Amino acid sequence: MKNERKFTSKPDFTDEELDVFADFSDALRDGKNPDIEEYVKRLPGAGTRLRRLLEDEVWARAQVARLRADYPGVDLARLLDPDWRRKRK
Amino acid sequence: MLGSELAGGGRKGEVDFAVIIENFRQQVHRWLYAVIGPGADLEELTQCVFYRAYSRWGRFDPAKGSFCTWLHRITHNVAVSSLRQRNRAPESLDAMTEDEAPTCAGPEEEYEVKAQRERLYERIDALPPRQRHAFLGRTVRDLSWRELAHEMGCCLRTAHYRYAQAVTTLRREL
Repeated sequence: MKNERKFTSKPDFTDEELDVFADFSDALRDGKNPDIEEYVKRLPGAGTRLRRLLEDEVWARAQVARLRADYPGVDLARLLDPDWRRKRK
Repeated sequence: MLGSELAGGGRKGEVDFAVIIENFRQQVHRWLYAVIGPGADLEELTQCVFYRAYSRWGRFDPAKGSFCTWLHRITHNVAVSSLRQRNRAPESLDAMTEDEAPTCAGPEEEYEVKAQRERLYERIDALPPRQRHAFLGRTVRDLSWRELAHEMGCCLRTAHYRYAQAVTTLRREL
């Protein structure tokens, strides 16, 4: 049932927004601490939507970082595999 | 007033920390919550962040980044230290049941942490397959864009798009 869930509103992004997003995501992945406002400034006029997208990226990585901290030394790919979790229950 | 003082990297005596705390308290609280979630004494950790910022003020170099970035780094370190203290390393994942997963004190907080973790699992499971692939590839397996695009058999732009959709959807749904 879970996988049949429908997402009614699809976010749409411009190529320019995705370029900034990709660079920002790489900076986070490289362990840097990118300043959201600096990246938002790269695209004058982008404003709220780009800022929200970058905040979402920080949030998503924070969620995974938290899982890593909660399960030190654990393979998260397994933990996030629903079949594997189901078998454990 | 605050902005100009911080931009100049003023000395302790020249910067009113009460004003800094007033301006950044909520932000620090949100950053801590994003990493730690409920169940920790966020107020105490917030104070810890500002204490560290105060005691290390001499290390802040505005030429290397904004005050906000510097404070975020301190906050992140405090959050990670707190998580490390809270957790005990399991011998192996197979040996650990869901009920044994690290939690914090107090049955209500314990329940909330567990429920939040379950919600995250459900939302990730519910992502459309290609978005899920992109999400796990980037965040869990740390793939580069090129590696992700190659694995998914798509162009870089499509990989960016699918991952952006995934994080946006997850955040909105949670």
